[in-house]
Amino acid sequence: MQFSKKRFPVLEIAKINLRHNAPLSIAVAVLLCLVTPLLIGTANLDRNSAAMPLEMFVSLVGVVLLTPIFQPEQNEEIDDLVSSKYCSTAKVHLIRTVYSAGIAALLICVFTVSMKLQSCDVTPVLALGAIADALFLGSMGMLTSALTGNTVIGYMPPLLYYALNIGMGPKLGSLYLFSMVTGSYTAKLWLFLAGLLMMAAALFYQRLRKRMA
Amino acid sequence: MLLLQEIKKIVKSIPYMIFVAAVVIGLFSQGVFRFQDDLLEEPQPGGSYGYKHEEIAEQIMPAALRDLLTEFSNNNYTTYPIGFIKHVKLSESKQEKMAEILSGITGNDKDRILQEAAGITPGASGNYTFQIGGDGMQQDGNGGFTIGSDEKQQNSPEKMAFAVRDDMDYARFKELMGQADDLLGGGSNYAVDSLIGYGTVPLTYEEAKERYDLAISSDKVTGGYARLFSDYAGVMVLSILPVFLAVILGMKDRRVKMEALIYTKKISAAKLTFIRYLALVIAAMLPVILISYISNMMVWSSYPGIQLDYLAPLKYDFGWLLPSVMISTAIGMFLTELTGTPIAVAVQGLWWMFDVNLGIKSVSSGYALLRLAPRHNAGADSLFRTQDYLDHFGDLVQNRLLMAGIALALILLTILIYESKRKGKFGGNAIFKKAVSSIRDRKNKSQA
Amino acid sequence: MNNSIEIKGLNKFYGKKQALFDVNLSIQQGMFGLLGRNGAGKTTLMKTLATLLQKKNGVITVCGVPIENAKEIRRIIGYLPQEFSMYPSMKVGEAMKYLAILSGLSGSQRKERIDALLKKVNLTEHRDKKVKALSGGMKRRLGIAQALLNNPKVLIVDEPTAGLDPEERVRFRNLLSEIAEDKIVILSTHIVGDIEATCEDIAIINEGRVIYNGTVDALLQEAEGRVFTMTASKRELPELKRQLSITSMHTQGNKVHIRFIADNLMQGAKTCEPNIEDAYMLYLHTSGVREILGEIGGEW
Repeated sequence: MQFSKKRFPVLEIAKINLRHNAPLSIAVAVLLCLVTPLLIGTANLDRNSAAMPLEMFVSLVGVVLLTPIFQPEQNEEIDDLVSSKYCSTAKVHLIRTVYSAGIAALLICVFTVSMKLQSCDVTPVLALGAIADALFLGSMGMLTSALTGNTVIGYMPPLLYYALNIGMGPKLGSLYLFSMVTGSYTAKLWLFLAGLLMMAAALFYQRLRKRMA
Repeated sequence: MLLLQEIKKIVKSIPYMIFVAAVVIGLFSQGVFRFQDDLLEEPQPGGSYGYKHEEIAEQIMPAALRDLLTEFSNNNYTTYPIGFIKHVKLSESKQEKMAEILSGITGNDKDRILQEAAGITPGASGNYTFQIGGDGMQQDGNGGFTIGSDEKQQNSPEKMAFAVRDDMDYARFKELMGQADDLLGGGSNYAVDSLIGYGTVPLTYEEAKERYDLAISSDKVTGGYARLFSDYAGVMVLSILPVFLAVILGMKDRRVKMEALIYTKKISAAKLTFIRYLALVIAAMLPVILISYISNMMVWSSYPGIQLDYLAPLKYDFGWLLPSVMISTAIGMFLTELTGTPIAVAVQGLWWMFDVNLGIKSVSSGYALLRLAPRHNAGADSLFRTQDYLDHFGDLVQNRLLMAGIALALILLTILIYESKRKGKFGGNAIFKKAVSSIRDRKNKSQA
Repeated sequence: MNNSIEIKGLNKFYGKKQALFDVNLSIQQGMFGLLGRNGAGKTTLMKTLATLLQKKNGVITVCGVPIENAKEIRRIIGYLPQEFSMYPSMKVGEAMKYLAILSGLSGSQRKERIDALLKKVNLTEHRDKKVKALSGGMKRRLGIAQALLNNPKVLIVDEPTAGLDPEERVRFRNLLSEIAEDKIVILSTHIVGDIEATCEDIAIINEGRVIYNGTVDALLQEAEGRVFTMTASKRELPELKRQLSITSMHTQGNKVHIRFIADNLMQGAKTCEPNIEDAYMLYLHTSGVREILGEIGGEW
């Protein structure tokens, strides 16, 4: 048997996964973006106020899109099946992570542009800050989901952390999610880094998990 | 006993441990273990006792008008339709209507008001200090939000100098301001209920004393703290977390493929579903009851010689918090049974987020009929605001009974679904499955 | 090129619990049957061969490739788990395509191979059906088709006939036999009939240990002269059950015919020709297992 020269057809794998494993979360994420303007003003906002819909609402798309990355293979039979194939599941997870994070970033950017069109004082930095929040919350969900092997449990910590941020406010320091409302941007760097770290940890643990069984 | 078994099963599960951890962290962050820092003090004559809002027409009318004129001239209005800031910019025709309202209030000609407004260059927005709900709304250290609209910032250096016409009657003023609020889409400071924010008077010693005495006699002190605890616990944890328990444990049955097995066991669906529901509710309440007592006991020693109500936490746990747990658990069980998916997490999550954000505006007291988590936060002006609570007690009871009622109705529905699944009439997407299998059968037959 | 699987001194633990004890097997081309009760360790052994589980120690080579080289192993094996299921929204054709991509097939090969395999397992017309809507038998056939995508040298099939009706089961066995003409096919089952119909070489696993490894014929020979039948009255049955290792029984009015294993002929009994079931029971029996009948009797 001859095997594919391109041994890992990334695009094809991404395409099929997008079609079969992502539509529900994408739909919920889009819905979230559409509902946001009904809950909070998204027009004529100065820079700090404009951070609010981005940080407090749109960033939640990260939770919606990233938390269920491992969900399809949490069915053990499917996991056994795809794991016995030549292409490693870890790479499939990486592909899903990349496109999910990409979609989250894209939605946030589109939302930011739409705010700009409604005369808000938004800047690319605001969008980046919201993306950092999204990655942080989403990777927190990914990590829990990997550790517990259960996606639903994965949704808990990010939502709880979100609630903590509403409750505790700036006391959370470098990991405070809503800092741009106060005009402070340094926390975003930490959130972004912590997000990447948790994402890597989640992917790594998921890879290990199977072998440790 | 089955109930005990089910409770044990839940309590030993990993999701439950995460649940408990989340409850503890969530409540700790709200400061429920530091109630001894906030003590009720008997007012002494000659001190300052804080402020209260009152409908004083002479204060309210000029202050509200001043704000409205400023916002009008900038055509930039700040509103809080559901608790979040919204900056409203009116269309030309609506600005004209606003000018008419202003004309009604000031007695000046509409065109003159418009002209004057056009002559003023919109002032650059001043430095906003951070306030989570926008200007005027401040977050206190305990996660509550207070609105103080008495010290509004002036956004524009120049002011339009119009005064309320001399013969303006307060009722008419309120009516006009109400129209302005409607024009803005609601949620502005000019709403009929919000105007009172413009009238502030200092509390007298007698009033402060009366308030204190009421807290002692009606709340027996501990009741006030239990109420504060319920406020935090309801909004932070118990309106959202129980849904996770219900969904995760409901899905687990599917995951381990026990369904078929369970379905054939000879126990009535009604009984099994109800026992599971009961077990989930009890399991979720256990840590809450415990923590409510720990939190309450912190202050017991600080009130020597005063008769305390040692059962207060229990009363509030069952009266205030139990219905929240009931409804979120019921939604979790119902939607999981109905769809076989964790969609309940999204549904409850959205309702909760909506409710929390609604809470930002009405954190001091929110007892609306459809509130998921009623709010009664002490805020700055008094520790317990016992009178306020007593005034709204009827609303609270209605809300809580309604939530508990809906919860039980949902469980009833869950039982019906479960029952019909057992009989094989219903299963996830039963109709679809049936259709598929009937087509398949037909094909197979035609092949044969 | 070496066309066999060699397993030497394999041990496997789940935490502290040992699941496989010092397993030694040599598996040649053709059908190889792994027989054992549920939970005996068959699935663990197969998952280890499919690189899904890591062994504690021992040496395994598959067609000369050491098992540690998971990537190469995955190229030459096909695996069908006990339960075959796929992402819920996928149709038969889509599932095959995705798994073909994961198997590393190039675009042109994919189409050809999928068409041929679907034809082979008789699923061509069901291409556009959702996988989850397939019947048990169809699912199993799709499972075989996907396991053959990379034209593996070794096919590992875990409990392939469980839950199939008798007709489907026969068809499925024939399919496997056909495939085994030029491959190693390892088949695990707790159903003796499957082995009888298809395998020449077998191993019996019990509680993580290989208690028999050899041909079916040799197994039968060992049981020669140790299987008996007798007819007794129903009243005697409880007492007989206690005394004897009964492999089957059926009642006729007041009488009951029993078939049992014993070392010596006893009064009133006749020696009879052993079948694989008897021989299997004998092996389990000698390795100290008694409570067998309930487990296996039903599968006759």
